[in-house]
Amino acid sequence: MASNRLPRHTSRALVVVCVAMISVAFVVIAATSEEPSKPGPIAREGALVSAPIPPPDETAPVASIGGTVPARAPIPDGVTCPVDWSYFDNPVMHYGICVPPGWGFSDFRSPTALDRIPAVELENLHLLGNAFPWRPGVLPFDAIKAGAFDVELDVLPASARSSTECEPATREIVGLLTFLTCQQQYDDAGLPSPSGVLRALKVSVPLRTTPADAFGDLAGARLLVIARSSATASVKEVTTLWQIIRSIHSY
Amino acid sequence: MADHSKHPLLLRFVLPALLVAAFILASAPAAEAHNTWTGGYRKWPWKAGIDRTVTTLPGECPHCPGSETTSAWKAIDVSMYYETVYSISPGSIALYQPSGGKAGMYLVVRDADGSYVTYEHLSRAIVTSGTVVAGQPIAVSGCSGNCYGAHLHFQRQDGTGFSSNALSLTPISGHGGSGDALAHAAYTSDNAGIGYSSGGSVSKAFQTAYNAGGGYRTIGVTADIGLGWSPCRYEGVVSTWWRYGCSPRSGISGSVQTFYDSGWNDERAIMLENGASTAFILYRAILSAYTDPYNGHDWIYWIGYPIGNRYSYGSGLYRQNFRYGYILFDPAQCQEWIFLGSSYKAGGWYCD
Repeated sequence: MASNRLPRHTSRALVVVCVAMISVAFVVIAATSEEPSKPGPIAREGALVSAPIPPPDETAPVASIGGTVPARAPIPDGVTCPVDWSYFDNPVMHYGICVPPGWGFSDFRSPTALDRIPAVELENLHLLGNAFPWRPGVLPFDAIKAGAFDVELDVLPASARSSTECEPATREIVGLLTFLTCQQQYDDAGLPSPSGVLRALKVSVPLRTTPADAFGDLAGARLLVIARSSATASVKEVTTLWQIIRSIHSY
Repeated sequence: MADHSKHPLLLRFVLPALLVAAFILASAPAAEAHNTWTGGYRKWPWKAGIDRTVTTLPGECPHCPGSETTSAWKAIDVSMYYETVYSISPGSIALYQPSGGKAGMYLVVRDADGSYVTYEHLSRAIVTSGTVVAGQPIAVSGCSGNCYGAHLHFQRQDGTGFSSNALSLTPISGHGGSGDALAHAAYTSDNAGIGYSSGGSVSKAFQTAYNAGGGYRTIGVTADIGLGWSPCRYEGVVSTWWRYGCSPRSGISGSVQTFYDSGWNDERAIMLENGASTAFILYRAILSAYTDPYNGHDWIYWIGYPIGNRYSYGSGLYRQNFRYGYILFDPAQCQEWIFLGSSYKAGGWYCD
């Protein structure tokens, strides 16, 4: 009998060790599993996941607005553009703008100006001058420093204010509209700097018709024009920028 | 003798086998860490279920020369073309700037953990102030500022300015939970948010219920893919974590979104019956009982959508009313009683 005691103890010890190891294994499995440790709703998740089907009252995201608009449109009655200039109509933001010869809209991915503009881009456009053929990959600020021009046209929510840059405040009456303007210079890093090599003329243009997109009305929204040029641009070139800005026709 | 013959077998084969098994289990890589509130709750800023490619990694930033010492250098670029940008975390809008500089139009969100997340080159800000929930549509990406083509540039930092110190973006749900580095690769978002659109009445009803219920601090963050309750499971409708028009039977339809708050079992759901304008919250205990199958169906089939939030029913009980019945919950006993009409039908044993 005595000879049996030691193996019996060993057996018990082994059983304890085995139980402990199995417990550890279960703990490890539980820790690495995505399943819950206690029954609950998540334990009954189905295996398949599909794209949701939008209900009828959910509006489509901006990206799903299809179609394009032409980069050149007929000049409407009552609007005048300089000789040889073309006209662009933005039906989402409800404005038109005159475009000098050789200028065009760019998405920075194509060497040529866009003939048609995707509707989703109409709230954020870049009208470039002295920039074509564009070299994809080049940064606009670098191109501007080399003599190109970039007139960016953005939607500006009603309450939008800039605390880091100049706020358009100088009044300029253009036809029936009052534009607010300011000028800002930027350094090589693209940050505001009084002695920066890049100059931006910022103009806030009121819109006569409230633009609307997939996210609802933009009540009180304005058009923000940021006309960028080299700080060493000539008077003639700056005059051209002003001509473009003054040609904006809000309807 | 029989005992003696078993011990060598145990020692020679069973024990080593168990040791090997335990070693394998212990050394196996952990499953991809899902976001929990205390871990990495951030999610990718694009629509759930969609792949988008990270084109620029922290430290690359080919388009921000001169910014090597700033947080911009640690940013990442994602190939997003004029798409809805969803907040990667709960927080509040710290800054909205219509800048003419390098960042273009940008938003800075103060993250729930006190850090700041910046979203740049936007074409449109959907929200410009106030609080945001994880997954809330906050902007539309674009190409404003010094931009080489439409994309989203985003970064996490310790302040709102461009000279702030960069912080790690990871872990982000679905990536980085195990500490692995980001790569030039496509990542699938699970940023279900509170609906996919801010413009629809369903999304607004969900956001209202979410905010009224205490937001992320009480309701939690949206459940990941693979988690969350699947109403209509027994009716052959494929599951998703954000459901529109779940119709288990004629006359019962609506929308469901699930959430979790700090743990696997801390589930909530917000449900909106079709035609209703108010969404209601189901907390874990009632939700768990509600999602138990009964006669082959989830309880949504029998008692329909909630028509109110839970309320104190006296004697320490809570009650929540549904279209065709109600559930009583005793938090002290962790017990639920489910009534179809006024008839008691089943019970459950779940705690909040």
